[in-house]
Amino acid sequence: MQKTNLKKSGIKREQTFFLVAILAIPTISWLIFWLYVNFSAFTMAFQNQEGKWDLINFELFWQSFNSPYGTNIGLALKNTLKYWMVGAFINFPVAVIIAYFLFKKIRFHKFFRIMFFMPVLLTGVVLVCVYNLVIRPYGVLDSILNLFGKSVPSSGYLNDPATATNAILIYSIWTGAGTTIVLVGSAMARVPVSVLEAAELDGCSPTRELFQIILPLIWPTLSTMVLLTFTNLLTSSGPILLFAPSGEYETATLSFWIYKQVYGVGAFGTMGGTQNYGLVSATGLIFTVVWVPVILFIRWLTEKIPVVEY
Amino acid sequence: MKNQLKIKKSRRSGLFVKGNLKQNILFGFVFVLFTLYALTMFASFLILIMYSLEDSTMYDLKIALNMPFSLPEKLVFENYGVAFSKLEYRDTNFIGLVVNSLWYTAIATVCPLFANACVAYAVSKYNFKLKNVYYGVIIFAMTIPIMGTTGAFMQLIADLKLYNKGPLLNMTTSFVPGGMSFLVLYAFFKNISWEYAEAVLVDGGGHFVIFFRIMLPMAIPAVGALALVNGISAWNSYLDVLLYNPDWPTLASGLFGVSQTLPRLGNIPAYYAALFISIIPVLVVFITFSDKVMSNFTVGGLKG
Repeated sequence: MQKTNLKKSGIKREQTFFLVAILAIPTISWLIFWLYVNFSAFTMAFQNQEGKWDLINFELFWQSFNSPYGTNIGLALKNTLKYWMVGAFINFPVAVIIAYFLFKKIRFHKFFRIMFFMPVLLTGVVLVCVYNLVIRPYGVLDSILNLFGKSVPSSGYLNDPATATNAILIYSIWTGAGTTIVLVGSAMARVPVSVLEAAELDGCSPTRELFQIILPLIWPTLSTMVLLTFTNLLTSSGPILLFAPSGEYETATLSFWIYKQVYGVGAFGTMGGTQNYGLVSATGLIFTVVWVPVILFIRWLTEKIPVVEY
Repeated sequence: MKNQLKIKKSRRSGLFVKGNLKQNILFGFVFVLFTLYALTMFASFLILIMYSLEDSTMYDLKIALNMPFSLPEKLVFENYGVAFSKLEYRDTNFIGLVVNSLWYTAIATVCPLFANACVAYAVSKYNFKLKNVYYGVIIFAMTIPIMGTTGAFMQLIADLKLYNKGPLLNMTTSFVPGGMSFLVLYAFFKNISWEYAEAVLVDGGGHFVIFFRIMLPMAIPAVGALALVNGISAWNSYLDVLLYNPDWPTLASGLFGVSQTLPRLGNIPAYYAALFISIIPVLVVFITFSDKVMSNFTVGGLKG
């Protein structure tokens, strides 16, 4: 921690002035657009549509949670958990392994790096369009399946509640690794070359090198990302809007459900949003309260693992 | 010495290390998997170009006949002209969409980065009473899974008369610090030596000089990498624009809107042409700077 060696009070005053000047705008913005928004969401949860104190939103939540009909919260939660499982247990580990091989400078690694970042570059609109063409009836996948005597159902995977969410999950595996590869990759780039050279001289295998040398060394970065992955559980929406703009065929996720409620009178008008911000706030509040202990536990776990300084 | 040289060489090529069969097989196998993945991305890209040059009637016919992957018989470059002249979303034409995308991306990239740079720098380099409060609050906000505030936010911008006000809305709401950018900049400033600053102080310069003339220019690699990644995601984001600025559609949100009522456009290949135009800037910028991005993206632990 550097301390400014301040002897003259004039410099001290200038420092205070400087700090106030650069912190003023971010602070005010944060107070209004983060703190106030969260506070008002909290109070909204306990108010009815007329602004009176009421627990109606929690009753509505409970009804929607247990309702077997339509796009309800229970279904959205189930789908959200699926997206999160795929993100945390497939995309994340795969991205770390890909980052390792790119870091090891596998042939054409620069080219591959761009290719793995492609899903971030090409908009979802493009990729969803191509993916649709591949899995549609009589598409590419269909011709491949025909070789094995099977075929894509004539209604298509995306138009069937039983398969629609799984089809979108596979899409999110195809396109989900980009940013993680960048973050993990640049952490790996900072691992001292001498350590790896020594390991290589001792005949260390790639698996051992990854799990026993590189991963422990980049643990500060990795643990931050693990924690953020867990935090983002509730907000992981999946590209629902691109596949099923109304959340049809039981594809809705929590954040999609929220979007739909708020977006009631937007461009498409017909999306059936309730415009009930109170219900949205109550739902958010409930999931936040449930999830906070989990996050604190994970954070406690990640801090148990000692950090190697280098 | 010879041995060491060999190893250096092997690190460079990756594939084919002499005498290490197991490792070669592993790298070869991974190489094949990577190539397959790259092919899917490449194919997506080619399909987009192919469709953008297809004759409009032929396109409808081919889709109806379930032959979506046949090459166009002749290349119809006029589709790009049609995209420019005919394509519009909520009374905004193609040029308008591009203009909206430009200012939206600029604001969404610069404002949060500036706010984060200020806070990250102050918190990592100065000792003041609220320092730990700032750091704690930002990390807290990041790790606590808050959701469902969309309604409250909508209400607030409606109360502030900012709903659907275009650049004014984004300028006002974009200076909130936090997120991955804060972590990256915090890690960066933390590792910069304070000696530069002391030299300035000895020469009679002030803290503003240190920040704007010394520290920020030194942070350009990190800021640039963040700007690129944030810029790309802003360029491609459509949800926030649809929600809060419906009459100021950007390329991403406008093209998403058009895609919802695609047959109405009458010329679907022109839509693909517009999609292709919309990804060109992102591709060019990323391929140019990809090396710099990858090496300057360092996130530290949360403990500070």
